Amino acid sequence: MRGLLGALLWLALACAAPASAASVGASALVKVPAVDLLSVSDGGTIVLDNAAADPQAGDDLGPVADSTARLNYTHNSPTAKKLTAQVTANPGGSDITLTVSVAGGTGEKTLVDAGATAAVQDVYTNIPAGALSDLSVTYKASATAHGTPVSGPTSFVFTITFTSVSS
Amino acid sequence: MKKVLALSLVAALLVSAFPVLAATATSNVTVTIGAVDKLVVTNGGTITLDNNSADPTAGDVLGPATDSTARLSFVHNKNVNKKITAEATTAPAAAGNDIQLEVQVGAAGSFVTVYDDNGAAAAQDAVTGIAAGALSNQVVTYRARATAAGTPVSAATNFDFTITFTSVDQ
Repeated sequence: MRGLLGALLWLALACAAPASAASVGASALVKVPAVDLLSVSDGGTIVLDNAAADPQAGDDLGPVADSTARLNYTHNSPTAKKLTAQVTANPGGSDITLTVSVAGGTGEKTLVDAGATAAVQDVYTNIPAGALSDLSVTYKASATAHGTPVSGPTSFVFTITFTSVSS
Repeated sequence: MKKVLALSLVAALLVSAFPVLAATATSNVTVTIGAVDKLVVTNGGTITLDNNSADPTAGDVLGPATDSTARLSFVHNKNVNKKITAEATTAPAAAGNDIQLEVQVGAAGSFVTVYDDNGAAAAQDAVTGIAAGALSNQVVTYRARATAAGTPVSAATNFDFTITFTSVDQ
């Protein structure tokens, strides 16, 4: 009985006694990959027809603008970035002039000049880490009646590639 | 501890070693060239055949007198040539006058008769061989003549004409 009581007492004391402090270092890995996300939606259809013509002024058609497309961009680089644009698919067979401007960017830039694809253009510069959200992208097109003769309504589809680049 | 430090160092190296890739996105835009066939002709002025148009030593012909107020502008983008015809679609009755009305488009154009003693003529070719492109602000000259005997009037009388210009595939 005394032994049992002693054992119980010892057990109680053992439980009541604070555990001696033990510490261990464990690593926690936080991975921050480079973020560089760009999306640009398609534009609409720009129509150059009678409504875009003024015979008293000559045979220019347009310019007519479309602001359907939207641009979103996010990056986390410590250095500023810029966005460029270039036509990477030009159907040819026309003297269409096509320009682009991104809201808040570097202004109107020519992508196609009288049918010829232009060099890469800066459309938005000095972008610090962060996001550009839902920016309006305006395409504007013009042509001439003699430079783009057609037998009937004819569509020309252009593909514009936007690219992020370190400034 | 050493193992912890080593793992942290490897992680740091992995993060810094990730190449910075350029982001790209594509956007399509369609430009549709519609049929362009636009003709604008302004109104002419008034051609007066009166004493100033008469020469009794030469007979009773009045005129010709001209008006070059009107202007014609035309643009088309078809891959075939077009022409422009002219026709008097509103004209006085043939009886009671022998007015002859002609029209010329552009200084180098030929005069075509749109109305004479027989009344309004069929549509006449005023300009031909028009390739895709524009004719802008071409001078339209109307020329009128009559005879005193063929167009008797009790007082100054107006004879109104509407000339309809039409573009047609050649």
